[in-house]
Amino acid sequence: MTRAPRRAGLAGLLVAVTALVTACSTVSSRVPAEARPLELPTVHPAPAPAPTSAAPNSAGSAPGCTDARASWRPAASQPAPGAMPAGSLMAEIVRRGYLRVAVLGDVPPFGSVDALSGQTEGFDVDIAGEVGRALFGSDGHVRLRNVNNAERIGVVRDNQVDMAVATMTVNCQRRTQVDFSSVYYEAQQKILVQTGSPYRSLADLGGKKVCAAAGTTTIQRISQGVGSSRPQAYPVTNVADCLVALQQGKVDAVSSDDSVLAGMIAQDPHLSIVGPSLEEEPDAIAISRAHPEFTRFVNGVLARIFTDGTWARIYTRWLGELGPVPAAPTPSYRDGP
Amino acid sequence: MRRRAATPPGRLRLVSIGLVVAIVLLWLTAFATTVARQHAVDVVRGTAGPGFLAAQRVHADLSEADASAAAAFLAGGVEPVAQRRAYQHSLAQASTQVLTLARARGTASTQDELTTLASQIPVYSGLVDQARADNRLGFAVGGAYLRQASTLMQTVILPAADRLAAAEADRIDDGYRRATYWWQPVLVTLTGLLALGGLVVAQVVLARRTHRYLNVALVAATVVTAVAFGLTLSALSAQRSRLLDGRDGGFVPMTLVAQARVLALRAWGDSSLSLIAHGDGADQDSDAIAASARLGYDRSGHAIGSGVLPAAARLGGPDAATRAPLPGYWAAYATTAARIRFDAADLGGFQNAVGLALGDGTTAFRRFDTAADTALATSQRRFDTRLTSADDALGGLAAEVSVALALAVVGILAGYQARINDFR
Repeated sequence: MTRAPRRAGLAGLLVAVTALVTACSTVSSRVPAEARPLELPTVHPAPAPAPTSAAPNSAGSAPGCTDARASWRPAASQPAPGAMPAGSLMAEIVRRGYLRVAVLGDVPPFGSVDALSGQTEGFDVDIAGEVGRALFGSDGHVRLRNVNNAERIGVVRDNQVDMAVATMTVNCQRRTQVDFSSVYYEAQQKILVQTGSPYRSLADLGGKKVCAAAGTTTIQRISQGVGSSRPQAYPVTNVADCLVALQQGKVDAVSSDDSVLAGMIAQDPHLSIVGPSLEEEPDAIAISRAHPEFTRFVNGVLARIFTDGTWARIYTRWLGELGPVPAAPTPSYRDGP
Repeated sequence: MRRRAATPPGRLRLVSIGLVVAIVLLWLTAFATTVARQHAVDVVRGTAGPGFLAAQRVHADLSEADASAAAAFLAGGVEPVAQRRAYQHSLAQASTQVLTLARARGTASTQDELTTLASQIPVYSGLVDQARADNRLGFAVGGAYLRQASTLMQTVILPAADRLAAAEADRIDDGYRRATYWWQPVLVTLTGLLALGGLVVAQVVLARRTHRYLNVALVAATVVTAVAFGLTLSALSAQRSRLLDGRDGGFVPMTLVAQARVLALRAWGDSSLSLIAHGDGADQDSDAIAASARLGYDRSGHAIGSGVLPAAARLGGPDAATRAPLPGYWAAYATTAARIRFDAADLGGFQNAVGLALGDGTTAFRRFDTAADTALATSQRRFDTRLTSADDALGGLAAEVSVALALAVVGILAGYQARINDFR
């Protein structure tokens, strides 16, 4: 055999072997990349204790803020519906046709979505309704947006709503970000525990977990503790999650406004409010700092409903179970622009 | 040996023994290959495949249960009977599948996942029922319970089902490899060529020496060997190509459609949960948008060109028609979902959003889900039939080859015995 044919034969053999091996190559059957499980960012925030940013008392306060409750004095004569001063936010709202209000969605009796009607209702919603009626002279001009505690300031500052009526506690630090109306409800921060538990106040809860909504003044107050007692703050997104945590025994107590806690007792009779008030939590309506004329207008509405019996009626409707109607808040004013 | 090789009959005896050894080598490789491949296909068909299907079904059923629970809750205190039934049905199916999986297999690798599923599904259903009871009484805390239930489902239970499916998918991959090792047919070919070449050369030499050109027994042995060799190679090739078919026409579309369905259910469930959260739905919304993006659609329902649905549509194959409507159906749903999100964030639009979610949103989603379910079932059937036919390709081969090669051995011994007898 000569060299050339041998080489050709060798090449032929090589081709044949390659073809054979290719034709019977091992078959793998892996799941295609697209069909692998999706690792999405964890969406449901775990209610793990985390320090809340922007502690209300640690940051600076508005210059000259000595009385956080003092709000702009209402005009001597309140503008009537249909006669809003030109160029004011009120005129703009009337032109728009509706008032934009941020409220809470799961904090009965202040703002919660009724399971049957699907409508948001509560003390805060009725207060917003009074402002809407004062602007338009009729009902049906209020559009509600449900927000959570941490979102309340942002939506007002970014002009996504005209005001937020969302059990917001007035303080000087928050005043640097938004304006507040005069106080429309005097809440007391209290403690909710299981009936029959040994805890009588925050002082008994040293080292124990106490739940409150993130982004509230309440959560700071818990971390501060009382005397040497340092409870562990357990922040959650929605205050309703606190009730779940308490019912499941994940926390030993819940802290919030007394009336919010009363709303929880209405959902679970095995709970009790205990102890003295930890802090006064005067609630007011948040309004953009760019529109003092609107704050004055809202204060005018509040001043009227405090005295003409409307506030007492709203109180009876939503908070009547707490006892007799207290005196309406006394507005505190300052003069300014 | 040397003494034997010294005499002509002794040499003939040695050659015949050599040929018999070559035949036995061919038989060994063919037989071992066939048996090993049959076993590997049986594992895929009998345990890994059904295990994978069951794990996928558990995942889909649980996602369905979670989404249905949210949709039922969204409808209000008195939940629609159909949604409640869908929830109960899905949960019961999932539990049954978990039981089947647990009974079928005792491998330690998936024991933890099965334990998670078996222990957490009752916890989940307890939370859903607590949410339901609160909702029925009009208590706002019900929504918080449902969120917790869904978090448990999405972060603990479904990942366990995912890991279970992944373990079974690995077993399928392993089975496929073991059923198609490239060196098996190469070995069969080499031993086959050796045996046939040996027979041909031996007959040529024998013919020259003895001047008897036809030894019937040896010719018969050669033919029988060639037939056995050909049969083995063609059966191995048929088995491999049917496995390939099963992978490309069954397994791959099946995994893609199953994943599409799971993502779709997740987006739908998120949409309900977002509305239930009453203003705190940003997390759920972004999760739904991410799931839809993985499917191949942006936040307003426009195709983005890549993702699970485009990949499934590109596959082609015999069942492409069953998958064809999926992208259109999902685009329709995604458009509605975008409107629901818009309305929910809009002032006073919450009621509209809920109405849209319960009406058009649910209809559009169900259309997608039903089509996906059909496509999934079709691919699963194809996968199973292809595996069965791959198994059939090797059916009886081991016996046929054994008989044929035994005959060849008899032929060789008889053929040479005749020549050896000539010397007596």
